[in-house]
Amino acid sequence: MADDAVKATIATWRGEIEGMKKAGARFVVLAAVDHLDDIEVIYLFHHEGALKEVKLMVPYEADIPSITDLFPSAGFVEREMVDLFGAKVPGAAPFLELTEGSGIVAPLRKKRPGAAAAAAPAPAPAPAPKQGVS
Amino acid sequence: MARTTVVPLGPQHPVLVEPIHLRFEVEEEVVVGLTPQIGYNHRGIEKLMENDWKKNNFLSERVCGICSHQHSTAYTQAVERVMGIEPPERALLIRTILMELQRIHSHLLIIGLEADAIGYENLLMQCWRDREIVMRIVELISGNRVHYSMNQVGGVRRDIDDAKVKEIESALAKFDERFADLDAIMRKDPTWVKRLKGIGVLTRQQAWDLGAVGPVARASGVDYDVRSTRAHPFCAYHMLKSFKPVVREDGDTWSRMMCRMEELWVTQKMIRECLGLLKPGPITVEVRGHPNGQAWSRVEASRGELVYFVKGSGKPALDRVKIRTPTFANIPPLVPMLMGCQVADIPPIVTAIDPCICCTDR
Repeated sequence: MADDAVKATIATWRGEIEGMKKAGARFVVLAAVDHLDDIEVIYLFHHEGALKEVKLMVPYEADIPSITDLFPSAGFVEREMVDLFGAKVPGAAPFLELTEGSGIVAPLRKKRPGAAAAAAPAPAPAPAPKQGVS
Repeated sequence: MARTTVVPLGPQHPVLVEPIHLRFEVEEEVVVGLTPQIGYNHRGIEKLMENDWKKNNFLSERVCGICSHQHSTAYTQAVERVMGIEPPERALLIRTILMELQRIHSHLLIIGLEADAIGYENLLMQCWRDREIVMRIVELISGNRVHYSMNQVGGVRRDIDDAKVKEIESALAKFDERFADLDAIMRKDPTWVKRLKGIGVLTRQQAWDLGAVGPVARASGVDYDVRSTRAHPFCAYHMLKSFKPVVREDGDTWSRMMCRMEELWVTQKMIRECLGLLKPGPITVEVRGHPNGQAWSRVEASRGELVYFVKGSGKPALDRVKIRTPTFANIPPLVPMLMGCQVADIPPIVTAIDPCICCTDR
């Protein structure tokens, strides 16, 4: 469990991440969590033996700015978030080769983009009338 | 001005057993650019884990065949933290013994593969022969050689009785001589030293900035070992006096391998200490309900820090499981290691990070 957690908004978030950098923290990983219309991004840092979280909740349509200018090690995991959640991280290209030709889009989202139309079941054919045997 | 040539290595290549694509740009024989690409082996394990939390113990082991117990321990520990469960001391010691046995066979495996990468096949055979000692111990303990299925939320599934303790101690004694031989070869053998010293250097700052973990970070002077953390103790490491992180300063390929060699000695001592600390007692506690909340869990796997994030909402199925494997963290540092190196040095430098693409892609 993290020792400290900060809930940030998109306005305060950058300041929190820069604060971690200034403090000499180490970026460990980020975990994205699906909340149907919103995505929660939990950044985990390690600093002086303690684990610190910075949490950001934004709608899927919003951009999540990259933190690779401050923590280059975040690059891979940001790109994975694009692949698995369809998050918008400017400058981060998908790289898991999941989507090309497979029809898989954002597999870790509970409510997938465009899934409603695709998933609508085709009407079942009317059962054939029973034929009596005479 | 030399012409730049692109040399693709992988995703299918005889040198790389697992699928990763490394796109090299070379000028004559010197690497001037590298773009790593992963994802060819993605199995959707995080998605599969949005399932019955009790079954995920077994699934987490399938993330990797080399560090299977370490994955399972990280997952189990995350669920235990969410549910507020304290496993018994004996279970923690048994988990630690298996964590460290797995470290021995993983390090012997990669030292052997590194020997193979530089054409030292005899040493590969020797390492893998010695690795067999561990494989037999884990089979004795768990009945399995790869996926032990030892962990369960609240403890472990099998005990280690006194007869097994004696057999483990006797098997560990064989390593006194074997490790001494291997240590001497790795320090003095001209084939090993000349091929590995001074190549693939990663500075301390690069290791820190790029988030290197495990022996890759520690060989560059970054003293980062989850086993030494006192703020978030895991397994029984907080009880052990014999543990001391191995940190080296040079940051080259030879140092990364020596870091693992020196860890073998430490690990052997730790297993002996754990065996001595085993006291009669339960190996599980009762578990009720379903995980409701979220938690992080970190363990020091053989390749470095392994992180699990688990989120549940009081139902049998979990909402989210996130896995950050050590190789996932160690691929970005490969770029500065390989820049400026000779093409012939690419295989030993890549092998020295102990890459596990199976883990990385999940």
